[in-house]
Amino acid sequence: MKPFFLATSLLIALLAPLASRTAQTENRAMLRGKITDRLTSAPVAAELGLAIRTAKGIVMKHTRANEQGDFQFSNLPVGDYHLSTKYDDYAVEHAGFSLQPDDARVFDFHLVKTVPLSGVITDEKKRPLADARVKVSYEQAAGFTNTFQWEEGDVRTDAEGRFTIAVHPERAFIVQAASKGFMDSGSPLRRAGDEVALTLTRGIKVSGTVTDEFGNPLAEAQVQIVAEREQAILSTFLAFEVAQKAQQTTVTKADGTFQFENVSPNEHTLIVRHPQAESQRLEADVTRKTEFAVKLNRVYAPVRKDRIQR
Amino acid sequence: MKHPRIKFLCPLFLCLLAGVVAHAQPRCVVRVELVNHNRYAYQTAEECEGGFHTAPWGNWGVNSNVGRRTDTDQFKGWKQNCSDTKVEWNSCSARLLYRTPNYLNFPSPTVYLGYPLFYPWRDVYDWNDFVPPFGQSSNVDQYSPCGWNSYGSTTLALPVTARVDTNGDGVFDKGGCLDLNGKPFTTTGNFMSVYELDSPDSDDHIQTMLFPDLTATLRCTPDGCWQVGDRNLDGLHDDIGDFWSGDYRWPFLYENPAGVQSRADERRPLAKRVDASIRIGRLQGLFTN
Repeated sequence: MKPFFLATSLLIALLAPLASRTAQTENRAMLRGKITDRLTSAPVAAELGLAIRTAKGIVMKHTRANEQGDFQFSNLPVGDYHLSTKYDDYAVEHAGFSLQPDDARVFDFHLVKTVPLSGVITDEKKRPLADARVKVSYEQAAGFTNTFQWEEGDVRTDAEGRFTIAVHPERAFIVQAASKGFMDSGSPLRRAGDEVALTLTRGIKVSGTVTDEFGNPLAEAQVQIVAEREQAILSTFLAFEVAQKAQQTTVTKADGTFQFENVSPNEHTLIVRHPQAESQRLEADVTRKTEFAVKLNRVYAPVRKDRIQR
Repeated sequence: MKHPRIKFLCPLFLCLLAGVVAHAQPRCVVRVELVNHNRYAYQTAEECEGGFHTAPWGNWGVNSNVGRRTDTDQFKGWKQNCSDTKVEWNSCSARLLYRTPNYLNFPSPTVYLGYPLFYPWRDVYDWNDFVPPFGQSSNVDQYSPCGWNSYGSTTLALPVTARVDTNGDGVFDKGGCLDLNGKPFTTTGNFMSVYELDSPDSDDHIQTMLFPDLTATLRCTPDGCWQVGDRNLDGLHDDIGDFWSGDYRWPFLYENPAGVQSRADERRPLAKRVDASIRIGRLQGLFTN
């Protein structure tokens, strides 16, 4: 046994520096830059959020520029990156890029102040909705992108249904509103300026059961209701809450039942999956029917001939 | 490379989005929310003067690596009903005037006793000596019974391959969000700076807490993603309400507005005025073309 241990130890000793060097090579990129006020050129000690996508996974980092507005991220791995600025009263700016080993990139940001946007949220009968949640979602670039809560804002309407939210003075955005019992909704594409008036409507409750071919309830089946056309909003604006209403997912209970709240009165697709059954996709026009009975055929594992008892 | 854009027609709801164009690139859009729980306060000293403030009560907000403070419910206190939007704290518990039982809320839901004798130099009660994380916080005077609060979020659009239906049953079984299945999502540099929110004057910084890294593992189908531990697919981890869950991480460093820092394992962490634990609460991904 002794020679075996000696050989193993020797191999580890030889390979360890190599592995360490590989890791160092992988994490050698860096980026730096300066943040200033676009009007005055004064440095801004802003915070920065960095989203990184590598082959291994997704990592979020954060740093703060110094009083001279200088910032730096070092020891970065190869991957796709998205950088966002954050400073009170200033609009968020972005940069998307990829880094290779030994890359040293420089990004300078020139920030502009946000402007206030006001509006009112009402229900179908034009009654003001108090305590409705209001956010904005900006038009996004293609590829790997990222936004934070600090860019979307998050304000509530007052007793008159009114709100004021800070927005970028130059970029296009939509306003999202949500209130308990109503479907989340998005405004038309717009820029800073005129007031926003948004009406929230109530959706439909959709329910059903999932059974196997013998009528036995299937628990923990994954049921999805999708309004394909409404999903387009997600691709451009990352308007997650609104898109979420267009693609809801749930799992069936022990009795095989499922239920969705606030579904838009529209044509949808129901997709039902279960690990022990064949998946099924069916059209669901919820304007005509709101209860669905889905039957899935169980998938049986093939039985080996020698296991069959005679 | 520029990606082709597809104009789409939009009946009903989509009419609202007139003029919107979509990127013709398959992406999985993942929303991640960080939440706090186990919120405690110790001898707060903000806005004690009154005037146009509602001393000593105040709503608190959180500036963090994933969010900006808002006057909503990022760090709920205990004065109002938990279902309210703005649940306040006693922001001035250090002043004798505001140290009576009406103003304090000791960290036990079952014991109601007044302000202990000789407090804060000495705390005769033992039932609040076991406040996490280290059970030596003899100055605890408020806790929030309002469960977990979301204090910030990030939304990522991750390019993925097109969804494929390999067996022709009409259901996608390859590509899309499934490309991300099993990948870890990690947030580093986690911090929460807690503020007493004021209007019309500026907000008051109470304390900053630094936290260790947080990780969740993605569990995906071609159509969407959730996190491992979210069995009912509602986007929330199933034990998000369990304040004893090991996924909740406590601060390793406290820093007060004067720049004084205290490590969490110090016998008497001088900079500690607020305590809380955090975790990745919500994780949900949706496929989009």
